[in-house]
Amino acid sequence: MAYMVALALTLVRLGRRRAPLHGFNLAIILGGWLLQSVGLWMLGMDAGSCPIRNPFEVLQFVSWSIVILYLFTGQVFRLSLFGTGSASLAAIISITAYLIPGANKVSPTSFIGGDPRIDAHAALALFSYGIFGLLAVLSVLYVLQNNSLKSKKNAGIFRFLPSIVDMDTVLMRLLITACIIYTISVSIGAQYWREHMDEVALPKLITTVALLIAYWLVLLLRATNKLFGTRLAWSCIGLLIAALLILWPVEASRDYGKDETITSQSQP
Amino acid sequence: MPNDFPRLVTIGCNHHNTPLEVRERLALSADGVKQLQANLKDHGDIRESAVLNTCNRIEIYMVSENGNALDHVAEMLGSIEGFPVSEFLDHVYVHEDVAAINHAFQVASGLDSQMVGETQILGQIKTSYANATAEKMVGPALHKFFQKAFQAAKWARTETKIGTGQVSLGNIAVELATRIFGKLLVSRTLVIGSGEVGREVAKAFRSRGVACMSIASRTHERAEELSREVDGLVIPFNTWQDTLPYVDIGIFATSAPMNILDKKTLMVAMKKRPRKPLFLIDLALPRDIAADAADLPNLYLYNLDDLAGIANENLQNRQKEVDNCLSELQRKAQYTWKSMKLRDEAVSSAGN
Repeated sequence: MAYMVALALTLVRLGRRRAPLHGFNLAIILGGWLLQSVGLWMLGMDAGSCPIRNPFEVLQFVSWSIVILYLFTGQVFRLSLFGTGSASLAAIISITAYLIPGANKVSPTSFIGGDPRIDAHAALALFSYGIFGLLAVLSVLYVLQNNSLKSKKNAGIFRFLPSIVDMDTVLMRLLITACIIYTISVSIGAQYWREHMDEVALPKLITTVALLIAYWLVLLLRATNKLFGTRLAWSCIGLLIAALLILWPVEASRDYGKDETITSQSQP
Repeated sequence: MPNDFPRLVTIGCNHHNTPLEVRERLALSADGVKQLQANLKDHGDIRESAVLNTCNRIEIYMVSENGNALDHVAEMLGSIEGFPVSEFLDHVYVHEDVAAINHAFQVASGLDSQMVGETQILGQIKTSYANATAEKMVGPALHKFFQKAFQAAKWARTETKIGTGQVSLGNIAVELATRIFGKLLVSRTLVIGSGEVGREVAKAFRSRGVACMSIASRTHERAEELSREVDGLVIPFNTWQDTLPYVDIGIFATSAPMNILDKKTLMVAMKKRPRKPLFLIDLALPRDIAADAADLPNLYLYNLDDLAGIANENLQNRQKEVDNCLSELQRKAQYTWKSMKLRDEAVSSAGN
């Protein structure tokens, strides 16, 4: 709700041709994030681990990650409307979590709460999803700014968007951070997988590695000046959509291997 | 039957009804203006005349004594090499007598300008009046016509709020540059040409602290003068294209009769500066930069029409003031027309 309020307030201000209230927005987003943290903490206490046992918790954790990352990076980069964009994405993801039927059912065979490497792998992966989210938010702002400059529009929201050069710089930094964190996450997961190959589903493995390669490829192309500007921005938006879509095979593989273990254990 | 002559006539084309690509073909060179002035002076049916030639309008003010003034003007413009008379006639407007006065009042006070309320036009009208006077083309009627127009402009500027909230081209260009580059302290700027509009924009960028400013102009003395004003560096005119890959902002304001920068050249320059955006401001008419260059990624190209469009975004707030001003100018024009008694004088002189 707080994230939606931040968005609504910004839209009202822009509608009145006034600059968004940075400090006020920050306070609302911070308040919302604290409430969300309390909720996740309670879920974590219930789980006895990081609260990512089902799609609801996963999406809430991603949403929470987006906002905490904004709260840190937003103050460093000082990009106008970045907070509103981040809060909007966090709100959309949180609402989606509520709308998915049966998303909050906790599987009795959940990996989470077992091997600490799995907890670390999953938490870091979802934290990198937060960075993917920020990358996409910034990319949307970039595309909006570029299109408004190309189409000679100067009124309303466009005047308050961050500059093209500033956004390009921050995109690169976030891309590097996303690649590093996601690589660490996958590396930890790979260690576990080497020992428990039968517990990791192939679709999850393929999609996770493919996403990792895709982000590194984008980073490499950006670093060699082969991918930049709006094409880079659209790539980041596309990669976030891909990342959210691969949550489905990841979620589907949650009980992979465990059922067989339980079944074999229950048989005489 | 009342005597229909002499008539006070204004014939012209402006930004309201003539697109930029047509205006740049209609733009008269300095030689073209001189030739038109000579033709007007020598024409038997035209008693008095003056020519206003700016980037947004070409207007001929005259006292016509006989025949169709538009036909006369079309014939004279046709004698200027390369002038597209048919395009001029497609977009031309003709104002006579009180309407001509009313139009001149609106033009002089900046209400007819592309950037409503701007003041540069008044200086341009004064220059055209001075040129026509020097050429002995102005008689009592046009003298009064111009003097009253200057008074109307002064009234509009001092007694109304039409200029309130008015932003300059320079400030708009700087704001756009800020949307592209953020802080301009490390931005390198290239100024091509040293015309008045270009100077204004260059000064605005300098006041915002751009890192360095290179200036190139065919007229070396004017380039030197501008470089002193903005603390810039004069570079030889034939080398400015070589510097394109290394600049962030380009201000183009030459009086070249055609494009001096095409898409292909820009593509080559952009390849040498991948990722870095380039902001080009084309203040010239005819335009200095090929319009299709705007399609290039990471390149932001703005011309006079684009900047004026942004300047007028806040016009809505001033519309009531503008409407009041227009009504008052119309009343003043009626009063001036009555005081001029152009036809009464003609009738009485015909009777003598």
